[in-house]
Amino acid sequence: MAYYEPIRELDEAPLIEPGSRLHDITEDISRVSETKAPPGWWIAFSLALCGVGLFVASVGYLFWRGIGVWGNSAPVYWAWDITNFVWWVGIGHAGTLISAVLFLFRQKWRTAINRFAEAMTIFAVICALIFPGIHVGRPWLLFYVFPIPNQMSIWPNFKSPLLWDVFAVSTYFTVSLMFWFVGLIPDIATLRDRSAGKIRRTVYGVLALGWRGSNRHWQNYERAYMILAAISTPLVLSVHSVVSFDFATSVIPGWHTTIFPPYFVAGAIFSGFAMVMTVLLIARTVFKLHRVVLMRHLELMCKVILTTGMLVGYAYGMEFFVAWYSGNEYERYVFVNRAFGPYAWAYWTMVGCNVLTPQVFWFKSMRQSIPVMFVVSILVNIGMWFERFVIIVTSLHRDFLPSSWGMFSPTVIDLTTYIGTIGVFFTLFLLFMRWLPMVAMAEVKGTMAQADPHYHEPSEHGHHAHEVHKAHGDASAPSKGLAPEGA
Amino acid sequence: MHAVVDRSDYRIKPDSVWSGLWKKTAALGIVGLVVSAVGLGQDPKRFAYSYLFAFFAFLTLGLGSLFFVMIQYITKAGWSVSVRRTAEFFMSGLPIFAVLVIPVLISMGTLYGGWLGGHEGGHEAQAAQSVSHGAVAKPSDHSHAVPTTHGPAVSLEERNARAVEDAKHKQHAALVHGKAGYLNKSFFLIRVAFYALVWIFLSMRFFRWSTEQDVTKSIANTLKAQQFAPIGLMLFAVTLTFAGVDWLMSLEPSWYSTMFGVYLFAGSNVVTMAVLILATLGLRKNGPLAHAVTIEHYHDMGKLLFGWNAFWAYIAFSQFFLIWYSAIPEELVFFHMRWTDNGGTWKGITLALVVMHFVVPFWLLMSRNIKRRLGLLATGALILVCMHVVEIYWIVMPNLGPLHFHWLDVTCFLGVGGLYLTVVFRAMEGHSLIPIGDPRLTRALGFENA
Repeated sequence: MAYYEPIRELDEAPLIEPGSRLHDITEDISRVSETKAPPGWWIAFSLALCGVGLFVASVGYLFWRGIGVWGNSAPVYWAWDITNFVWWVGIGHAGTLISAVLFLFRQKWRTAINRFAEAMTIFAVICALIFPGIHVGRPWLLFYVFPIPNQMSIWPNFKSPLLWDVFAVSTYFTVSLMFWFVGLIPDIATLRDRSAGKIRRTVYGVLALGWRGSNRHWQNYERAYMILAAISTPLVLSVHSVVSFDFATSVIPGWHTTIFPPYFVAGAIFSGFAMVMTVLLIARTVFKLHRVVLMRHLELMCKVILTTGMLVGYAYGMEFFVAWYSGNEYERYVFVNRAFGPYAWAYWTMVGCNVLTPQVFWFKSMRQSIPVMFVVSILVNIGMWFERFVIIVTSLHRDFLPSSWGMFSPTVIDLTTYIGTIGVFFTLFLLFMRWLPMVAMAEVKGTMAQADPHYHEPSEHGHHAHEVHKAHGDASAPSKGLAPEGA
Repeated sequence: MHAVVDRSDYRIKPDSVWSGLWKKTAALGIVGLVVSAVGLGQDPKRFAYSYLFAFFAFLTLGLGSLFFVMIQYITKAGWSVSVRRTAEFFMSGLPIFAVLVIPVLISMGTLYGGWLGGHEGGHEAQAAQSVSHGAVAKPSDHSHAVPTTHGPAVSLEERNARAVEDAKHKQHAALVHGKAGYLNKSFFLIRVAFYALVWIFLSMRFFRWSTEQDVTKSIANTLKAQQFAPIGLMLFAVTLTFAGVDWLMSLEPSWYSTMFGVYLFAGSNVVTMAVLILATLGLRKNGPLAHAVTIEHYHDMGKLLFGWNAFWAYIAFSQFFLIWYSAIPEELVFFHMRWTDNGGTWKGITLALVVMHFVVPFWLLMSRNIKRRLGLLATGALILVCMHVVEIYWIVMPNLGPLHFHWLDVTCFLGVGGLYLTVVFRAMEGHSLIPIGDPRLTRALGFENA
């Protein structure tokens, strides 16, 4: 059966607005970078740039004065710095999941959102990597984390999960960047071919790596894409598992629990999807992507958010149950303290945002309401930030000895550094939206009816057929459909 | 839109080896159980553990199949429709476990004496305190656990050692006593009843929706199954997790791991994919499935088998690694029992799990070519089925003591397996081998990996 023949009785529908032509997709997406930016973009960009300014000022002050400008204290030696690190790494996960895992599972709806999510991954990981970089106190000695031979014969501690983090996150960043760029090549070629100005043509021309859309190019491209997807898939699991090892390999009650690796991965996908949704909803409205991003895509994203939210809820439940079941008094105390101690408000914010809020997506009407989606996606990101805060701070603030109990309160610099990274993220993201094709045009075209070799232009729409042929001039019109199947 | 297929095409033919196979498995099962019952009289303790092993070896297959069926509905998969029925057959055997669980309940006092606080249990809890490498671990044979060197001439060292032992016994008893809110007889039985009800309900519901459709071709059935599958999945997650805690984790009441439910789930999926590959291959050879389950489906099932096995390795490794790295005594007990304790007899099997459950199948099943060569794919699947059985043996048996095989292991395995497969094979003979009324069937029949 042809892919483009949905079974109406089963509520199946096409992935692209019916009646769309290949050329419409090219137009919709390329237009964004070829016309002047809408005022909304400028407003957002100025705000984001303010965030960058805030970030530079905060980090400059931090370097000048030292870690003391943060609220970190004994016994809460790790606080917002690592919370933010884990939060950003988590957000980065959706990109690889959508582009690699959903690709291997032949979830063709991913084509509408994968480029977005991949870009988000890169920018989120950049934001994440800032925190371990600046939290060491002496950033000029940061090169010690790399196993570089030096005259003092100091080697990193290979038994430390913090070092594994360095390898895991940098591998993830490299592979994600490659994946993103490889996917971009045919689309950049389209932009190149449409360029009017010389500079534009040169820059896109260099980035397109000589792409001509020949059969051979497509064949190599698809093979490379498949291999990168296969390499990235274990990375989706490994990165956040290694991040979870930072905590779980310790003997700190509340940190040491065996479910941490998959629990962190589920949470990461959860928050990543929520962030994709937040940004996508804005972009869809501002840049009018309604032809490509249908309600159906959004509904499927809601379902993923609901599912991963439940997985996170399962992990919360198991942690609580086993803390009791273990019979370990410290373990029990940490969990009672989380839920009813001085940080109970943070705990219940986390449960409310991560477990209860997504439950609205059981209802179809909620999955189709854009305001609801927007609010839930933001609440989920708040909840996921609190999850990391709860794990880190509540496990530390009451040490084994009551004499070393304490509370953590953030300083203004904590806050401005965090807001600053959000500014950095959005600055990069807005630049991406403006200058690169934010939807994978070639891949979207691969899911359209026209990409099927047996596709026949319906005769009653003869005038359409003519225009479709015109669109074949696009370098990115897939030769045989992008056929994202098989491993 | 709908498949134009003759219903009789996809039935087991009377001259095939599958025809009447259920009678043979039934005979095997009954003989197995009867002989095991003799064993129950002779060595009730061994019977208890051997039976629990057999019970879980097959229960995980039934539950994994239930999960496979539900996930196909949730994802509205097209490619898998022609193999889904085979999974449904293995799922349809779940209700028999409500009967097969009875010997587990009969042996409760032996298996769960550690927390039930029964006569035998008290003894067990005391014996469980032999200390090795700082961990709370069970001795190889509890009758030798407490040194019987009583007499007037007890040295100071010995008295001290005994005092330490006593203190640890008391601590252990207090620890286990603290779990009584969950680990107690009546709550345990209530939970068993709950799991049984959920599994019977889910398996019968999904089986009926699918088989009814063979006749009615009603799309409503697909819609109903799709709608109910998420709720079914939640029930499944809760029951599988706590069944694992109740029946396996509590064999050593001081041990705990939050990952255990996920671990059991991963293993269940591995065995299910492996069995699906082998069963459809067998049905193809002696039946009409050849056109419905093609090389393309094997390629996909091979991918899933590979993927689930990698997932299993990830979960199993993470669980081991975090426990090893942190070295907290109550947690270490699980791995000590399977490594240094019990005379080190379990080392070989522990290593075999690493090599044969992960390393060999991982490299074997990675390549596309191998997944499309049915002989090699079947080899990989067979290795994993065997290793799953070994793994369940490795989870259950070290709680009893050092590795030594017993004829009861075999008879219980045949008994439980025989009865379970009887239900499965009966269902196979009574129904079409593919869901001929499914609206997505044509997608599966024409499916190609591009």
